[in-house]
Order: sequence, then C-alpha cells, then structure tokens
Amino acid sequence: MNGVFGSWYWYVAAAVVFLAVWGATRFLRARAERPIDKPKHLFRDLCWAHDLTRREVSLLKSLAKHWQLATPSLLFVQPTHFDSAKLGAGWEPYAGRLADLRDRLFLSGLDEAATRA
Amino acid sequence: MPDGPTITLRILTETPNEAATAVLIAALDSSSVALQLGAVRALLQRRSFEGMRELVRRADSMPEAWRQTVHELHGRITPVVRELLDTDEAGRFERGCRAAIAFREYELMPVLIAMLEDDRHPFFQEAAATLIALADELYHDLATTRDERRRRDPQTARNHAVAALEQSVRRFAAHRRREPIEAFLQLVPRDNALLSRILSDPREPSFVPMLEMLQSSVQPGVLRLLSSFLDDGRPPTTGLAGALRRTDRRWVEHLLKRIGTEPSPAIRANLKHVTVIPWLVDVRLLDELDDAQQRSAVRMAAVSGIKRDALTALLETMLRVGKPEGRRAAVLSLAELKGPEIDVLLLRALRDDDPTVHSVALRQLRPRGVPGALTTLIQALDHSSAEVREAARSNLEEFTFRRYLPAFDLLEESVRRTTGTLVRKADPAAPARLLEEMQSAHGKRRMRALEIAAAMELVVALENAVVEAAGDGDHLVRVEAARALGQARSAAARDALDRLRDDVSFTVREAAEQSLRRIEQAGFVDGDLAAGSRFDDVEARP
Repeated sequence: MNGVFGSWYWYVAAAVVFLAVWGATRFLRARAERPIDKPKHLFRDLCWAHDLTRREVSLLKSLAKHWQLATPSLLFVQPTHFDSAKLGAGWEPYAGRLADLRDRLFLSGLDEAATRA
Repeated sequence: MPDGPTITLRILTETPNEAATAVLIAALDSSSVALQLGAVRALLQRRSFEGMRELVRRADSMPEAWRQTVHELHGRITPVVRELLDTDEAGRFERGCRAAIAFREYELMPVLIAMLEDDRHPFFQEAAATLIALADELYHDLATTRDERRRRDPQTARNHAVAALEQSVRRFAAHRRREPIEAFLQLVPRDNALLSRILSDPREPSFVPMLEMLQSSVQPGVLRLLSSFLDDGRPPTTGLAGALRRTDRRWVEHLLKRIGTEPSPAIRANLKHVTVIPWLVDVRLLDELDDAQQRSAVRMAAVSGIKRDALTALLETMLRVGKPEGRRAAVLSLAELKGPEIDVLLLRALRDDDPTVHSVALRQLRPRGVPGALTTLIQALDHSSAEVREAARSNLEEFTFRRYLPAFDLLEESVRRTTGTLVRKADPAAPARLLEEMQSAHGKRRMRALEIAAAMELVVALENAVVEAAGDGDHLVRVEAARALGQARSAAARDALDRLRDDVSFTVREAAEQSLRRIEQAGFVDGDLAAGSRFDDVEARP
C-alpha cells in the first residue's frame, strides 16, 4: 500500500470512532427511555413548579411525616391533610402558613363552582 | 396564571417519573373535584397501565364526569379492558365486560365476536350479552347529537362494528349464534348489501334467524331498522312483512312515532301494499295508546291497504272509545270513504262532545248527501261552539246575503222570512252588507233593503239606520221604514214613528200608525233589547 491514506490503520480508527458514536447514542437513548421511579425527584419537581420556599418545603416534609405518607408528593393532591383542626394542638403555630399553602396548592375555579352547586 | 391544581396536574401528567402514577391514583380520592377529574385525564394521557387498571376497577361506581373523560380519550383504556377479557377467571371476565360497556369500548366488538363464536370459550354467553349491550350503546351514541369535543366519531365506530358483524353473520352456518345477527340488525343501515341479500334469499343460512329477530327483538336499533323499511322506495318484502306482523306494544309505539301526524309519501306508498295489520283489532292496545298515537294509528290504517271492513271497524272503535285526537283522526278519515255504514258513523260523530269532531262531521254531511243534512246544519247554526257554527255556515253557502239579495223580489213572503232568518245566522257579513244597501243612492234599493231588514229580523240590530231612513226624501222608502220600525223597541224608534204620523204621505202615516199599534200590542217597553242585539257599530263598506 502506498501513502498514509492507504494504510489499514485508518480503517481501524474510523471503525472505532463509528462504534464509539453508535454505542454512546444507544446508551443515551436507553437511559432516556428507561422508566424512572423516584418519588423524591417528583416531590422536588412539584415544589419547584409551585415555586415553594425552603420553609414551605420543610413544612410539607414535616406534614408528610406527621401523616406517615409514603411520599410527600401525596400532599399535593390531598387538601384535607392541611386541615389544622385534624392535625392537633402541636400544629397550631403553623395554622396560618398551612392555610396559605393549602390555598396556593388547591384553590381552583372548578372546585368553587362545585361547592356553589 | 394557572391555579394550584393545574400546576400539579401538569407536572404529574408530563413527568416521565413513574412515581406520579401513585400520586394520581391517590388523587382519585381527593376532596378536590378538579384534582379528581384531572387525575383521570392524566392517568389516561400517561397511558399508565396501573392507573388505568384502577379506573377499570372503579368503572361501576365512577361519576359521570369521569366516564365522559374516559370517552373523550377513547382507545387509551382499551388494552386494559382487553387484558381483563383475556382470562379464565369468571369474576375478572365479568369486570372486563362491565368496563367495556361502561367505557363504550366499541373496538372490542371483534374480540367479543371471536369469543362468542367459539363455543369452547368459557364465557361465550357473557361475551354475547356484552356484544348486544355494546351495540345498543353505539346505537344510542349514533342517535344522540355528537359532541364535537369528543374525539370518537360514532359513525366510524359503527362502520367498523358493522364490518366485523357482517363477517360473523356470514359465518352463521358455522357458529349458529344469533347475537351477532341481532347486533348487526341494531347497527346496520337499511341499504346494507348483505342485509338486502339475506332478506331476499330464503336459502341463506341466516335468513330465518334474521327474520325471527326482526319480529321479536325489542332493541331500539332493530325497531329503527324495521320502521326504516317503511321509508324505503323498494323495501325488502320479507322485512316489511315481518315489521307489520309484529303486535308487541314497543314496536307499535315505535311505528306510530315514526308515522307521526301524517304518513310521509314514501310510507303511504309502502302501506298501500300492506293488507294486514293485526294489532289494529286489539281494542285494549288501542285504548292504551295516547292521543297522538291513536291519531297516527288511524291515519296509518286509513292509507294502508287493509280491507275496508277492518278499517271501518277501527274507525267505529275509535269514534266510540278513542281519545279526542283519535276521534278527530277517525272522523277525518271517514271523508275518504263512502257508503251507508260510513254515514252511520258520521251521524254518531255528530253526537260527539268534542267540537272539532262535531264540526268535521258537519262538513261532510252535504257532500255525502246524508238525509236531513240541511236541517242538521241549520240547527248547528245555533250551537254553543263557534267552531261548529262556522262549520255549519261554511256548508250553507247558498244562504249568503249576496245570493239572497237578488232573489228577494222573487220569493214569497213566508219564504223571504224563513230564508232571511237563515241568511242572518249563516252569513256573518249580512248586517254590514244590508247596511250598505240601506245607504244606497237608489231609492228602490234603499226601500228593498228596509224590506229585507224586516224579513231578516235585523231591524233591532240596524235600528239607527232604519230610524234615519224614516226621514228619507223618498216616501216609498219612508213607508218601508215605518213598517220596519214595527219591529223596533227603542224610544228613538217610537219618536220616529210619531213623526211619521204627520207625514205628507197617507201611506206613510198609515204604516206608522200600524207599526205603533204593533209596538203597543207587543207591550214593548223603552230600552228593552231582550230579543236582539244592536249593530250600531256596523259601518257601510267602502
């Protein structure tokens, strides 16, 4: 074989690069498609979406602990857990903050209409 | 800015994190309606098997709003329902059937057909019942107004279902199951080629079961198909015959609703070939029909080809025991028939309490030449109902003022009076026309008008005009006015007669004297209007 381009090394190098790119693509795609089941991540996403402060997040975590919830994310769909009357005397200092949080997370036009009806 | 539940649901719908499913399932029991509904939608949009299994588990008890959401996103839950049907466990299969019906999973009809055709399938009977129920749901979907928000077009679902059912009907000889035939009849349009072919070929294996189904099924879709044959320009003979041999109440009510107030031309054309309608002799059934249904039944019978005796019997029954609308339709239908027995029914209708029945019968009297028609009509002129009086008047057209006026001079005195009285009752415009005559420029016409007023006994009604005529420049007119005033009763009339006692004409004076004597003999008192009414407001026509 004549010249640098005629060398078989180049063919090997090209094959290695191709395999590396193909492998990386497969790996990334498989990772993206792999189902994830991470309750903590979901709770974090929900807190971000609702723009909650650290104190509010901390309050939610305490509330989830009080109700012994499998995941604190469940608090985002259960307004009754924010009812300070059900929480007991220990939660009285937080009643105002809990009420504010409940209004932010659960007030909706549809529920108001349903209540009126 | 979106509200709290909207933000939560957006995250729970869009996140690839499977942890969202458990949260959404918990949201189904949330105290927030918005979150409940949103969770149903989100579970379907995520195509979460676990979530959809939960929805299927709650299929029987879920609120209507949830069900609507499942319908809107149709097809999403189908694999889960199908999964339930693919089992040997009875309870699970039953749950799948209930879910298929609740969520109107029409896509599962081919699966159910395959199951019911296989007699080794442990639940082939349940599959058959579910197929019929689904066909019924689809029929109702087709019959109701389509909600454009819904993604599913019931027409498309029907086309797919009919295609699958056609295959099953073709395989009837192999599986001998009647349910696919019934479901097919529930959904098929009347111009379907397979339907026409089977109904026109008794050698078809499914011919007999299809005919039996047409004669016995109470499914609304089958009833709709049957009655649609009546609208067909070229209906299948067996289909039509099958339809009209049915006697069950549900069919009769459906048929009468289809016929409505008056059969359409297409229905009339088909009914002409129908010679037997068995339920028309069922007096109890007829009696149980409501007003509108009785009317439709009578009209249907009247335009059909049933024997005259049967029709007469129906009309007789209806006139005897029918509800008002039924009796009205019956008496109207009499107009299309002739014969002494029909005249008897007509005379019976004249005794009906309902003024409409009475008046319709009256209108038929003279065209039929029923003996005593004129007397009956004349008597009806004094009937308490305006409708009856109007019917009598319209059939006494010869007794109009327009005819009476030129004939008046040719009539004898007694005939003038009897005819005049009739004209007064039969022609409501008579006083106004007479008033026009009384105000004519020709003395002879004014004179005759006064004579007519007396003959028609309209003097009281037109008293002002008669009193005015007493001062007419023509003495012949004054003579007639003086004579006519003999029927008057007011002080004004008496004063006019008093004045006429001093008239230059002897004849006028004599007539005035005679009239005054008549008034005194009759003992009329001033202002007594007991026997007539004034027409002071009658004005001459331009």
